[in-house]
Amino acid sequence: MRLVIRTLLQAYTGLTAFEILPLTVGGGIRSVEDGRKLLQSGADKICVNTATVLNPVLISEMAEAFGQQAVVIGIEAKKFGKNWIAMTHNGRERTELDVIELASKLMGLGAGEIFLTSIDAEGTQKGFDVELIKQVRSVTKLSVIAHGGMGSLNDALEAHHAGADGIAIASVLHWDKFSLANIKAHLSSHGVHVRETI
Amino acid sequence: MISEIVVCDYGIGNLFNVYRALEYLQINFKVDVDGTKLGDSQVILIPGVAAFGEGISNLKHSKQFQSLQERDKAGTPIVGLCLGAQMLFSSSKEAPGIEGLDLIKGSVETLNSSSGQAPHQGWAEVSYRNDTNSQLSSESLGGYFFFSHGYYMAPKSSSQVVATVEIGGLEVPAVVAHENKLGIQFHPERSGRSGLKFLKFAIDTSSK
Repeated sequence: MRLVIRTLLQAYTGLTAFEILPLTVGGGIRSVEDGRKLLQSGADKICVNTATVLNPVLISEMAEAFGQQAVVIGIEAKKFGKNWIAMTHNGRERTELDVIELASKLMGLGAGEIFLTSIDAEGTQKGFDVELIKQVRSVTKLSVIAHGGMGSLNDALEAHHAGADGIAIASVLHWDKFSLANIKAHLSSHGVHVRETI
Repeated sequence: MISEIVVCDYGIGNLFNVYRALEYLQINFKVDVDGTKLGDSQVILIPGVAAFGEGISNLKHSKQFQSLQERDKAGTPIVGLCLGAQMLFSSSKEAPGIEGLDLIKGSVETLNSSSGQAPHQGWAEVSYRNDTNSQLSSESLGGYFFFSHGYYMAPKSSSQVVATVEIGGLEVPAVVAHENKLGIQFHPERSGRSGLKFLKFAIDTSSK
């Protein structure tokens, strides 16, 4: 299980200067060329949401150019009634796409990983949307990174049990609620494989 | 002894991170873009974040394809990372009908329903095979390494497999060695300290 730290794009150039760890970079990618520039600047993978929801062909074009493993698709899920609907533009715009249906098709389109954000849970620190993770897990073999809602150490464990391959964490780290070492120690003590800190 | 190495730049992917890792390790390196410098060094390093078809097409266009085959015949050690390792093989399911460098007999196969996850993404430990005749030690392969791949190396001769990684119950080669060639499926240049340690060990061992 991986821990993914969300960071600002501005911070990214500085980070890669001294960290020898993998980076996924997203935000504002609209074309294969945009993705190529980021990969050539040191990104290991690129994350795209809006552009691919509007134009799914872009996923296969990027997979052909960079390999499927480098193409991470961001899904911004918001619940309407019983279903999750895919949002774009940082959760501001609504589409007609059902998230579970979209997730089931992504591998065939050439995606290599899913970055799954719950718009409803994000920023609440009240736990991940476990049901959303479970349903996405049940329709795809792609790696799924769950994002939005991490508030306690047990939340990380629950996301893992729901089928997430990684979790993305922002607020609790930024506000020093826990350290990465705390989270890893908790997961590890419950038998979850995590890379040792350092 | 740390030798001078040459990095094979075929115009795509993530060379920035490879350069950074080599600088950090204080390994002198040159960069080749057209095959002419590949003969100048003790070890050739082929990095790679790209798709097989585009990688091979670029190697051919830059004339590095033929130069690499010639350097192999001359016995120059060649170390491939991820796609750089996969291109050493005869063919790949990622690009049917396109011939690889064919320096290691075998194919590159798809991670599919037989593995728990496809593509394989994230950190993993590898298992060293004791029956290998490689000079790489199990100690050098300790720790977690960063994997990001949808395909895996499948050498014809299983004795060429130095280490394996488990992906949802399926064991696939993580490191393959054959004569002067070393293929590494993960990204040692992006694997923190354990990766840098292994990259240095791999280059040092290859140059001996």
